[in-house]
Amino acid sequence: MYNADRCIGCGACVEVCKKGCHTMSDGFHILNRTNCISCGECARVCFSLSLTAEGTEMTVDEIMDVVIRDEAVYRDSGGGLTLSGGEPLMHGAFSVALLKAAKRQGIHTCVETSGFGDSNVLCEIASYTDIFLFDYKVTGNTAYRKYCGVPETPILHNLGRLNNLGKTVILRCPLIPDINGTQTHIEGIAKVALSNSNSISEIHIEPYHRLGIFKANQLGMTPTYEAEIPDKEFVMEFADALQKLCGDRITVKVN
Amino acid sequence: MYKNIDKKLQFTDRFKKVEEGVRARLRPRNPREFTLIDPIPTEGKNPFADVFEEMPDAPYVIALAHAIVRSWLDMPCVIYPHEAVVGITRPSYPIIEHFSCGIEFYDSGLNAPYSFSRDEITEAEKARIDSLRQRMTPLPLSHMDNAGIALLGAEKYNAINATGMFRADGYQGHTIPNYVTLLTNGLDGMLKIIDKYAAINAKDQKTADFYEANRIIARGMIAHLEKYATYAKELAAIETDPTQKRYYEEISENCGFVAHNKPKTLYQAVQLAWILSLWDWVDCIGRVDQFFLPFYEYSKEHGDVISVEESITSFMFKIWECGSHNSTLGGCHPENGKDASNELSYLFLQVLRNIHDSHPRMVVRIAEDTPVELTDLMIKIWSEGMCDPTVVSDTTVIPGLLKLGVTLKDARNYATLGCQEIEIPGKCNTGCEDGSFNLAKVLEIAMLGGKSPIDPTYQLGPVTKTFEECETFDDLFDGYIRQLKYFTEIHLYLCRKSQECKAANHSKLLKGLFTDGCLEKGIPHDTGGPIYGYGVIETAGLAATADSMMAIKKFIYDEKTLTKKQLITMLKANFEGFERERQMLLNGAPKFGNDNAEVDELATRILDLYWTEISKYETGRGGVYTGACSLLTGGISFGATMGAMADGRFAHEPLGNTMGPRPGADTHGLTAMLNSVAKLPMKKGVGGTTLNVILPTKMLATTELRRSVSNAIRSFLKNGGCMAQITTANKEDLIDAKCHPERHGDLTVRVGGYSIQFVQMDTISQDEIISRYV
Repeated sequence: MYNADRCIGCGACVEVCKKGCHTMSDGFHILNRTNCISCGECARVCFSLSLTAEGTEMTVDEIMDVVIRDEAVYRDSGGGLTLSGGEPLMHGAFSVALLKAAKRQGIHTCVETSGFGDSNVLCEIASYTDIFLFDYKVTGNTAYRKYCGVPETPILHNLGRLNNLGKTVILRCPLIPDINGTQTHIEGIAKVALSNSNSISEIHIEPYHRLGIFKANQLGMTPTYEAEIPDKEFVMEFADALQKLCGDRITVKVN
Repeated sequence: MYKNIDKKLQFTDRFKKVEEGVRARLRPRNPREFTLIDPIPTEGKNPFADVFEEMPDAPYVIALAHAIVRSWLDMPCVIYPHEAVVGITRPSYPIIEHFSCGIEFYDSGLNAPYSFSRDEITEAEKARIDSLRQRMTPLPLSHMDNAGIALLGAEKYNAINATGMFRADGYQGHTIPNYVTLLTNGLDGMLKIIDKYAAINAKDQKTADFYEANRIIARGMIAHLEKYATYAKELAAIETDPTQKRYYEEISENCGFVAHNKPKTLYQAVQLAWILSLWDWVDCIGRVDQFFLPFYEYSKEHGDVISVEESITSFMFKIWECGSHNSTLGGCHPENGKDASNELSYLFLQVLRNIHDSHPRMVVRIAEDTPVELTDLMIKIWSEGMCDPTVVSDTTVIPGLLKLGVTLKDARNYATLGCQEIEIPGKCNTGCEDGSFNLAKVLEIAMLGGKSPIDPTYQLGPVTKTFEECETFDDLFDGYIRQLKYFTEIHLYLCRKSQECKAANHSKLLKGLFTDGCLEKGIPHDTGGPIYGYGVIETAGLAATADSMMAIKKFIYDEKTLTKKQLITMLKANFEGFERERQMLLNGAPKFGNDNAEVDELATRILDLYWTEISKYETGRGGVYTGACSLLTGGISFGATMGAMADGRFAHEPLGNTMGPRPGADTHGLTAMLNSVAKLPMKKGVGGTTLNVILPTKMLATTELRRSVSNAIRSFLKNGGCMAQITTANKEDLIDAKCHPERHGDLTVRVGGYSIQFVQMDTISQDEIISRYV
């Protein structure tokens, strides 16, 4: 990732880059990622942390070593370990191994998932997971394909599996007014929640925010979507309407 | 009934008016950093000098007692409209009798007619004033300087002082008087106690004088209350408004009663306690929710002139207006060790919440069985933007006090004072603090092989290997140890000498009357009278020292990225022309406060070494030294004397306050920072070891967020942490963080379902977060 605000213009990256991605012009650093092979050399010499290589390869034991340091806090707070994005289902074996290790230590576990992935992997993960934060983004196969690139059916199928297993699931619904701020979606969410009521007693509305844009920029990517932040009233109306349809047994919260 | 965080306390109409009055009087006082408030101009008067001049033959301690009494009684009474508890602070004059070294004063601080330009007065006049000055300060602080010069020679003594490594002249000398003794005996009762012990102990003139001085003080307090009773009666006689007339009558009766008798109701108790607090110069008050509790319960059951809520509010308003240091809530019961928090604890917090100001300072003691409601209320108060209350851990403090030889019952009864130092109310003189010491300065000197940073040709400490000569990191650390031991010995010798000044000058004469041990033994407060005489030394620069050593170890010795010569050149140049290398030192080596084993271990080693070293020395009051790390502003003044450091710190930058990481260096989140600090040997430093935690108010905005912060803090306190002081960051802080990310690496903000370090975001996103703070 590249954060131009932190660059001190020392030029160290220019010297180490074998692909010529970094150049200096009038004391300012210019990054061209075209030839970048993600070797991480530039980040290694960038002491002002303007260029950083995100992510570290770690083993299950190494991760558990960090996790366990806050054990006392988990005990007091009921908190624990959460696997979040990327997509834990894409790394099934590792996710299972890590969750298993956490459960062996008696640590509460939580998995955030888009819901799209191998059902069997999901069920295996489920045996070591206390809470799922399960995304439900738009209603209908067409819309799901259009905005998420995958159909809705397998996601609902996976959710159904968790429901049958009686796992605790919190349904997480991003709210982007132009895309899913519709009555259809309100009804869609309610339907999904009610038909999986064995698992779902809580729905979290996540209103669109722009705080991912800087990450895209730092990665040299063009943000795929930009819009205004939804206003509070709209969000509250959406949540209220949803709450009405869901009845008393399900709580709708706005994050 | 005060537990409900959603329900704010409603002041009665009467106290809404009192509140308005206090706010109006405090408004011109901005910033409210002053703890001493002078409501009345001195008009050139100085009762201290007057009394000493009027009584040329009186023993020092007698004259001092009379002077203290005069300073209070000479002042006109002031009763503000609608208030219930009365009494205001007197002018501080240039002389504060029980702070610093007794009534030490300086030429510039002496009021007319005793201040003068030396050229304008006659020789005879000069002689008169010099002799007066000598009488008022039998042993001036120059005693300490002379001792230092005798020990080291003038040249070396001055050279050491010039480095700004330590302060040995002590600070204000906070201690908490025994409010329980006063409230259970009343002032007439106090006189009886004095007589009782005088009869046993007063076998020589000096001891007899000491008891007489205490009598003078107690009678003075009686007279002060009587004066207010009379004044209120006079006001009542001419008052036309029937309500205010009744208030005056009630005040008159109340003051008249507690002038002699022990209180029965809460209104009486708070008035009597307030007079002691005033005479104690509104120093720290101790466990208010404990010693007021019997009176609170009595008044609740039997009724009172004003409601219990009004009594507490009235008392709190007084502390608020006059700028008290600290009072303590919650914690365990001295007898059974079980949670002792009660309805009053919540009431005090609710009043504090309504006051919503930088004063009064309050501390909540947290034990394992402290009710969640108490922490909830406390965090709610933080979430509303206040830094109070600070939290302190029973789990850490009590075993630490036991190690110092404090009994279990007393240890359980501890309270905090001053800058969050710890002591046993009414039983201690901890010197609070006896001195303060800059650990980072020692590193600077050790790197020079014991030479002075100001004049590198002058040998200040023992000759050890210079940084250039150190083949290994251990060589450097060994040198650090030797320098540390050498300067600690000198520092504590000087502290001892300044304690002698305090003893000779009877600093804190008033406190002796209300401190267990003084009357019983016939020994004054600063001579060893109190039951506990352990001393407190404040420490600055721990994180800067550990971080610098870590950077040196990594880049010079382990990875050999830099040569010693290069580093020396950079530090000398204050990193000018070496920004890239500075960034490497700043960001490339682990920093204390991120739960990194290696640097945390270094910090632990340094602190353990220092605290073990000071515990080998005794105070002049009988008792060893213990460490404290709660300097709030000390990090700034000590930092100003420092050159550039190997952790990437520019010369003269603050060293960081309290015992936490260097500001902005903890980038791994709250629990990692708390874990780092909890590794330090806190139980060896029970002087008071605060940790400053900075949280944006929005991080505390919902019940769930507050609960998670509450849990993190409680775990920290339970698992080795000692104290935490929350600073809530507001919009301005975030804007500053945008411009100076290196100072604010620790600022965590809530984004959506997750949190992130504010400085990691780009300016656009930062602006978005800032825009939420409207």
